[in-house]
Amino acid sequence: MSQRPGLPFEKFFTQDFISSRIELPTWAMVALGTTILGTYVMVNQLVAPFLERKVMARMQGRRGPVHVGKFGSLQIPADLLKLILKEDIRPAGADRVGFFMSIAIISVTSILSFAPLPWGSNGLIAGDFSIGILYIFAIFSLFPPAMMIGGWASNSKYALIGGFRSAGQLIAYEIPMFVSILGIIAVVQSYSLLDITEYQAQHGWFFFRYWGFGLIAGVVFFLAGYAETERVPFDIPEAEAELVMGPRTEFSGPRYALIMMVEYLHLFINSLLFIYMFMGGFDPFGHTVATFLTNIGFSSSGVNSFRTNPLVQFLALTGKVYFFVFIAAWFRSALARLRIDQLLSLGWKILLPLSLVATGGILAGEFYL
Amino acid sequence: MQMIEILFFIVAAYIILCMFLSITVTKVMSSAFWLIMMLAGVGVIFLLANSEIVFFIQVSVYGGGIAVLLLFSILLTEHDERVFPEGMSEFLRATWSQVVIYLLLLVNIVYLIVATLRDGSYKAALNGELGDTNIPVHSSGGRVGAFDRTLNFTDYLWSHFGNVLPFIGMLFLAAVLGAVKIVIREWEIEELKPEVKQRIMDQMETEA
Repeated sequence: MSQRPGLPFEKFFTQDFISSRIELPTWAMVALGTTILGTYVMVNQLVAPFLERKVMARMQGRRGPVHVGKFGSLQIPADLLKLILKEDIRPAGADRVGFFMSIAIISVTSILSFAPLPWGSNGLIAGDFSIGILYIFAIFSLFPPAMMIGGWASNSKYALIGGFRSAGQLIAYEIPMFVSILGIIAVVQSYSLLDITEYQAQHGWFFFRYWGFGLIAGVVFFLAGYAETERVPFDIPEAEAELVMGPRTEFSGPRYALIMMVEYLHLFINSLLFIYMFMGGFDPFGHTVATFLTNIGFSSSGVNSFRTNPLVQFLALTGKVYFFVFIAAWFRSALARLRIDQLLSLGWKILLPLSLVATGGILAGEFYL
Repeated sequence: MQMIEILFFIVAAYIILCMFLSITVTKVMSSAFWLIMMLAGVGVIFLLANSEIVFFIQVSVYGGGIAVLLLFSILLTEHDERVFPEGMSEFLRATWSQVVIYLLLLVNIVYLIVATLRDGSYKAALNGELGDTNIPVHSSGGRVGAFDRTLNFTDYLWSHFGNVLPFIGMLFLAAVLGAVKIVIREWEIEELKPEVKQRIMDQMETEA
């Protein structure tokens, strides 16, 4: 049995290809591993908002950012620089510790939740926990209290009400999100995202299996995950016309930059989770396509080596993530905000029963039929 | 000694600090905040002890679910400032259970840290490996590793952190007692709303 969770990217660094050329000490492995993960997250933090703004602009008949850099590509770094250089304002009467710590908790836990996500089948994983997906849900459950404390500590009515709404929404959608993947966990008999991805590579993506029950579970999981990001049409905690920016109202300058970063991190994590659970993870194409390619004349070993190539896997994963960034931009420009009662009804009365039905269907399909 | 045990000391000291702040800060919300931080810290202890499934339960149930309930209950009642006892004797009478548990934990951790520093075993850990996180696990290739790990969890804790473990159990007791202390408050009759005041006055008259 492999040593779990081990060091970040340990298996990757101790492969023949690398370890025969250079032997890395422990501290270098930790430093390099965290640098790889941090760089990936940070670069995408700058690219995703830009693409989202461009897509939204096209959908609304505008041009989007054009002035800074080529095609406006430096707009997001310029915005970031502006926010970092701004004065950091703390409202009078705000609780100093809560105001600082709530942002710290939210941003640190967002980055921590990337740990058990595998970027390829060759050991590109920061923390290979045996509880993989449960670890991410445990980290998710720390967001509602942090949002409430942030709202309270701002000493503002808008922020306080927004904090309440945010906590209510996060709790309401965490449950269907988790219930919808129970069937998959039972089928794979593992919580590890690596095991779930490898199972899908052999048996087909869960989204297209079990006569539509996989699809139902996938849609529930995606909608619930999307609602957790608190973006349009689920942006009730913010509700710009009523609550200014909800729990984030009083945060400005660098703190606001961190909040925007967390918003996109949430979008990334939820998209990645959906990809790992339903869309084959880093597998570039499914089992069925691989069989089809073999049937039309491609060699079986060639198709397999393409599927297990680390670069192809990494690019496939990133491509899938950006597909969901596109979907998010589409939702944001096409849909209007739900009312809070509609939001909670959708969570408790529609998504939760649907997720139970889907789980039952998946279990029946796997074990009885 | 391994690096993972040094990490244990750091997290234990953090838990003790959060406990101290939770008992001594003036605002009820701040107190609840430090309580949540302490509960999340206890989750990290479980993660260090290689029992990931207990970490999940600790963080999601205590750090997430119970914390939200606690915060909702505080924010929906009119508790803003805590009422501190005026004299030391009154303070001790009101909080003796928490103080005793806190002091026991503090003495225990300080003793362990001082003992480690004196015998110098930490030096090897600082230069060496992270620590073999696989030692106490006897999982035999089953896919649901987390449950296999939990079977050996107690064994590992008692062999490595035996001195501290009983007090972690008491920590939960202290947390529960603290939560009860937060919500219990005796109201002065003048502070109540007029209709409530009238109702209580009527009750007292009826009883008399």
